[in-house]
Amino acid sequence: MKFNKQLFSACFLFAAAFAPTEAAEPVPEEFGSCTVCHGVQLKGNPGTGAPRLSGLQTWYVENQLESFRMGWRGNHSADYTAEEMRAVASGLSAKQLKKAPSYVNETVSSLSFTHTDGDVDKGKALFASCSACHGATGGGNEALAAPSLLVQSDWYLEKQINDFRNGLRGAEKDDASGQLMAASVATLKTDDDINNLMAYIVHLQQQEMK
Amino acid sequence: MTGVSRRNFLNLVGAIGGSVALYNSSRAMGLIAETGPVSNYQIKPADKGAKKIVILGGGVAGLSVAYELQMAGYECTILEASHRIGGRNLTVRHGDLVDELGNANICKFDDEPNLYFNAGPARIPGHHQRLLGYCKKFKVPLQIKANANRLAYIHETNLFGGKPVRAGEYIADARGFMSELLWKGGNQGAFDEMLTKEDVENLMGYSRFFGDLGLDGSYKGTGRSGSLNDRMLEHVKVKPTQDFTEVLKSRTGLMAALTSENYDWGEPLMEPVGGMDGVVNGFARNLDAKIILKAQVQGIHNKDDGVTITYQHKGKLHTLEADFCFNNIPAHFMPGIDNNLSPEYMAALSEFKRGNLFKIALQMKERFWENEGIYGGISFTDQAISQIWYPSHDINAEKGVILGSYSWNDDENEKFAQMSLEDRIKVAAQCGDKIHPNYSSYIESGVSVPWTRMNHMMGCGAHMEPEVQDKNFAILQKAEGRHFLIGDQISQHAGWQEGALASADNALRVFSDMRTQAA
Repeated sequence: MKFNKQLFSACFLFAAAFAPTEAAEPVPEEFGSCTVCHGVQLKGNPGTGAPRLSGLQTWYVENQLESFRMGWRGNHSADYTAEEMRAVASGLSAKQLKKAPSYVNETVSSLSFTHTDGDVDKGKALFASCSACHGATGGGNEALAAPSLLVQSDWYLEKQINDFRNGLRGAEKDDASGQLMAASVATLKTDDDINNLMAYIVHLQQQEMK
Repeated sequence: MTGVSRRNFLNLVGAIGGSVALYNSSRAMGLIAETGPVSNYQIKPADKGAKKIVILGGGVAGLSVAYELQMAGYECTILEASHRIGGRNLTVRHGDLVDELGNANICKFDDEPNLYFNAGPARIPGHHQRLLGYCKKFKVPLQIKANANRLAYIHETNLFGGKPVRAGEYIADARGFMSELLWKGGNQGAFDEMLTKEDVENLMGYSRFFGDLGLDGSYKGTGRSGSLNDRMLEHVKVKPTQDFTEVLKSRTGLMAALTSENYDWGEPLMEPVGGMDGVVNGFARNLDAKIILKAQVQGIHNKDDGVTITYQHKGKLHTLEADFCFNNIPAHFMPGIDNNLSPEYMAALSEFKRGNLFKIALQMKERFWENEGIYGGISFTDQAISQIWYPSHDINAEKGVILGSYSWNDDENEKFAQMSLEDRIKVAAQCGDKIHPNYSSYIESGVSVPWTRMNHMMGCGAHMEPEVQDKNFAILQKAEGRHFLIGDQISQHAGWQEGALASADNALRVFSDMRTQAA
């Protein structure tokens, strides 16, 4: 994960507002290893490549754990971190699988931003096609298996878009919603498009926090 | 003499051995300053305002900081996230937990003290004086560990008929052919403009002995490669040489030839008797520090007069107030831990990349390699496993543990990481079969450590892009408030205990200076 230093700094300036600590609740023992990569309160960690999980919808967590276990995700040798998650998901007990979605959903952490230099208006135009499934304000739609975009860090959303574009995700034949997403990201032609889209999603996230 | 410039040589070594090899060779060639002597500064003793120290992570750097500060009267607490101290100084034996995320398993080696696997650091050269100093101080017994071995093999899938060649044979041929070229060049006046007549004569004489050439300067094989017959009873019958074109192409051959040339691999190397964790046990025997295992750090906050650490232990959150903090946590975890370190500091930290070194060890029911004349040392192959290490200890015992794979190729390591333990053993076995007949039939059990998936580690061989490293290290090797980063990660020797100890040494020097100036 390569970071623009200034943008990264901006992200930490924001996070600093939440000091001294977000670790208000202990991690249930059975999920101790989640925080190794995903960070305190599952706030995500670009250093390990692990996304923010705090606040993800329970149905989506369930869905993704199943995807990893079925090999719909994390089955591309070039996606090192998703491969790591597939191994972990495959090793979870029935009890852990049952309790994970609500644990994940209930964790609380700050959301940090790295994409502050894109063109929000251009991003808004690009978002029009996203909103069909993910909703006008990015809140997600369970009926369409489209997760909320308001709880995920932009660096990870960007990586996922690129993974969908490059066939690292959404390429398995039984992964219907993944395939749909892989087809949908074809509307994003350039890195600038993605940067602008991210700027708009960050804008939506900031609106949500107000 | 400009034929092989120093720069070209460095590029060649860099292409094969990666940046660590390049650095080491540079140092051996005098381009980079030598590791200094062990520091002799005095740590300012503890006093009322500076007494309590918290050390995050019980790896080798953390243990040495705890020991040195204890000697100066400080009270240290070590918070270690995993079930054991030592970090990547990990020796695996019968019954030990291999805590790989998603694939935790128990070592199935026989319950026998000499059947062990050093999954992390595994060799100590004589100039790693910090580490050797602690071994001496803590009475950790050491033994010689063979690293290069002329009777071990090099193996290339598409060279030498795909058959293993003894390293010594390859090295003798490579030297012989190179020397022949030098001798002929001299003989034909190729160096007349660069060298005096006397120099040319000396060069030709030197070449003849260096390559074991005939009187006419030709290389037709040498007794240095062994013999086709019983050389104890008869005159040596010289083995036929390898093809020079293939000799030039062989990168594993070059690795074997350069093994001892690398400053950190220069013979003789050493290892603690009974396993590398003898070093960790040495620290443990001599530490008064409170060590809390399974304590996962969640927050690090600098204050004007101290540091607040939040950690989870036994299902509860705890807060620990200390005067100073030494942080041995792998840097890639830091963005996931709450902290109030400065944006510049965190940006510098974020440039670290996780290394993905992988090792597999196999318990063999017979020490078949000893029947081939191999006692310790390394065979090199161009296959996924890259290396096979033979144990230097317990020679002539019934069984032995060999290192069945150790590669510096990220892609190969990642492929191994993505396999099950059974598949990893299978691949290692198939590769080994190309080098030793019936290799796989001797395997009784295997243990693998993909460092990129080890719980609370998630990487080995931390590195940065060379163009940003100096700038970031300048930030990270200083104090950040009352917080000091330590570990091999901020040394120029990631993956070596001496690098970890040097980082600790540096942090303690900065700490001591800071305290002296504040006084």
